[in-house]
Amino acid sequence: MIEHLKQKYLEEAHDLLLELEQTLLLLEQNPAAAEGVETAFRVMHTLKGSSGMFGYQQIGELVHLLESGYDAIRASGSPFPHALLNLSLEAVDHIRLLLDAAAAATEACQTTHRLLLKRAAEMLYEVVPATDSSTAPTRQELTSWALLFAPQADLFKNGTNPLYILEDLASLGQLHTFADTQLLPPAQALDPRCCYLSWKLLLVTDAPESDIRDCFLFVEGSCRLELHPLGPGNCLSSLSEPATAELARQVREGLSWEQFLEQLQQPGAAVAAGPGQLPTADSLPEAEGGAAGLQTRGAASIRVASDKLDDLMNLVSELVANQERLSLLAELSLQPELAGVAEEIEKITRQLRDKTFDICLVPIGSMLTRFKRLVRDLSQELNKNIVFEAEGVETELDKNVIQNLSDCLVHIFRNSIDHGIEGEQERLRKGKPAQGKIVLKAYTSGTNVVIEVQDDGAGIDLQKVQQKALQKGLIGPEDTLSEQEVLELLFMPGFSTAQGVTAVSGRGVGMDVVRRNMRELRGEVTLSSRQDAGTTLTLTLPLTISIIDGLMVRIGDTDFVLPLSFVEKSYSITPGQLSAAFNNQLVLDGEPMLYANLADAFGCPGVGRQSFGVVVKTGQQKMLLLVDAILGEYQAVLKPLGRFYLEQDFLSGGSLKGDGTVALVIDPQKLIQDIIQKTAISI
Amino acid sequence: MKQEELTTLNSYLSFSLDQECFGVNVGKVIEILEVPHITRIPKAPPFMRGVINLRGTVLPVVDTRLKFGLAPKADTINTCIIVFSICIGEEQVMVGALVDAVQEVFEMPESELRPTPSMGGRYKAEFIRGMARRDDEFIMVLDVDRIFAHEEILDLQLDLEALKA
Repeated sequence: MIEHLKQKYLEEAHDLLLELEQTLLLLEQNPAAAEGVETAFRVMHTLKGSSGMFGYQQIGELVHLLESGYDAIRASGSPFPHALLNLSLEAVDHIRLLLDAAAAATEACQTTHRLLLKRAAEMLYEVVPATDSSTAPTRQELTSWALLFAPQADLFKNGTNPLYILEDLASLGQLHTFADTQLLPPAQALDPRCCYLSWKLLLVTDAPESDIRDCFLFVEGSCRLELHPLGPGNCLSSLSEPATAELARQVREGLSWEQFLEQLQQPGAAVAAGPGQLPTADSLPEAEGGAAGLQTRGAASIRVASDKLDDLMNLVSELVANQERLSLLAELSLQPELAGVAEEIEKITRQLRDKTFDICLVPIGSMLTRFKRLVRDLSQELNKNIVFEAEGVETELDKNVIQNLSDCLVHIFRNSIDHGIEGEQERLRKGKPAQGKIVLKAYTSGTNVVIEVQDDGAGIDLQKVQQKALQKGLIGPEDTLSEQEVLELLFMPGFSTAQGVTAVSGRGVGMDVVRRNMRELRGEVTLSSRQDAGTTLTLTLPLTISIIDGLMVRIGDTDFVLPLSFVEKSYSITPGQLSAAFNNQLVLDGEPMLYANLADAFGCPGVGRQSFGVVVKTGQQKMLLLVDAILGEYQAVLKPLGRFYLEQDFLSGGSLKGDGTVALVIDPQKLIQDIIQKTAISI
Repeated sequence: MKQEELTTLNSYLSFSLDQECFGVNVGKVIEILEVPHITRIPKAPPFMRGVINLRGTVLPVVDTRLKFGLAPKADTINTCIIVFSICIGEEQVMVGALVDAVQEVFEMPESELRPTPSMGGRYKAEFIRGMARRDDEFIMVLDVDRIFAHEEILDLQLDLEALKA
């Protein structure tokens, strides 16, 4: 049970940190934004509370110091100091480490922790005295207030104790509390995790309204709060003991808020009414609207464990495969009703599949905070002035793709910031604006999602790349390469043109890792560059990774699926053409084309008659693959082949056909790479 | 039979391969299938016969004859696939084993399993859990986890040659 709760705490803590990070980055752009400070403060407070509860004391102490700083700024309304922002961002990173028990135990982590605590304490010292004079609360005249505090039933779930709030209120002045126990069920029906109580309060204080509202800061949105001024001065002085007791009795029996106010304002009632006691125009609708808004938002989206989604996806994939089988049987069957049912089920299955895909899609915007942060930190570290922009952040991708993609993008961003964008002086010399720019553009194209990362930096020096490749023996001195071929060199393992190895990039891993990761996602990465104008990396990815639109072909007695996204064209091939072939090239439409016989490539030469050819394009490489027959388009639900077939990595998996047999899904990139390597050796 | 005896009993499935009879603990067996269309995987070793569709999952099928280094033989009407659930490391993996014919399920307490002779036996002791006597026949009870976790052809042949030598 406690483990389960702890897991939940960890998830929540990560969410809170993300929210905090976002808020901080916003604050950096607009240091005067009061609501930013407010949000940061609230997030920290929540984090502090739950961290304490689950024994993460170190997080608690650090956040507490920071929180105090934010509180001081919030109270004084002074602009947000930049130093605190840096400190907070570092703290966010550090807390992420602390959440991981193994990382937290390391000496390095503990040292950072002490350092951060010290800095936070110093910061606090700087922030607080500076604001002290201005915060000295503007003491007002004594005012009397009537309050309604009606928490939602799930208040306790956030670890909030409403009694503390009442205590806070009591510290502001003279407080009378009237508890409404109307909703309290009999003991046996009572759920101890629910809050059944609400309170009507009378408060006499010299504190301003904002101070009163602040007491409710952390329950904002999870309670109904009404604040009603009864008038200046102490209106409660005339409240007699019996009158108070009578009021308490009425409240207990369910006196409504309106009736409560009425009671108070009746001539000769317990409270002497002052002028101007109508509810302030904003207090009522704001509190209610806010709470209602939050509630609907809560119901509109729910949190689901991601492995549940994976399960759902698997089931739907299975359903799709079985449905295809049903359609086939219905077609063969002589019963007309069966055809009708099969068709209906096909329709529903398709809808279900589309909806499920949709559920598993996540907008690209969800990973942007990480990059904003990366660009900010790196550009500061390297003393460059870089701004990051994103377009099409609402473009959606499968959640599993997003996870892997974000690692690739980190590589790409590092490269752009470190190698791409020049220092300020150099940019000015080149006649470019001093501030460099990295733009991430995402859009959907067909069944693919395209992500472009553009920088306006120095671009790639083709000559330097070529020299480097020569040095490393990747090319010979007499090789003449096209521009595109030179750029391709960058994707070779172990290639790095950085003059020196920096901490940021240039460790010789990078682009080849990006390409490999993208291929695992069945995606492709290409590069284009103009000297001094910038570099653009284009990532093309399939929308989902579990279902593939493919072309079914037959070789021997086995069916194979070629993903349609790689297929360009298909040809009918005559034996005459094959016998005229020369140097692994066939002449098609007047152009020579590299070809390979798949039966040979699969180690069963002499099987079948190669009567069709499919042109497959991967990256810059085009190849004609000879097959026995082309069976048609096919939607393949990808299934892993399992650990016994790890060696056969030119297959991405199997797919179950309608007739119950298995077709094999080809990974064209790997296959063509294998074929080219093999022919190169045989020469 | 008393209740206590039942719980200590072990059930075994016996099957034939070439001239030999083997047994496996039924706890490892998921089901027995007729041989469906098997999709061959290119460039895989010959003893990996291919994959089949087992109710929505892709199941690898091992040709047990080839795996044990026996001569290949065309499938007959008796040929069938035993689906095993085996442990490889921490992982539970399903694998199909093509055998010449399945025979019966018999019960025998673990204690009646005889140890394999360490010398002069036909099969390597590490893949065999013991011998079971069934009427006049001896049945080799296999350790399927070990056999299928092994990625190469089991060199039963070598043992045979060693025996001859």
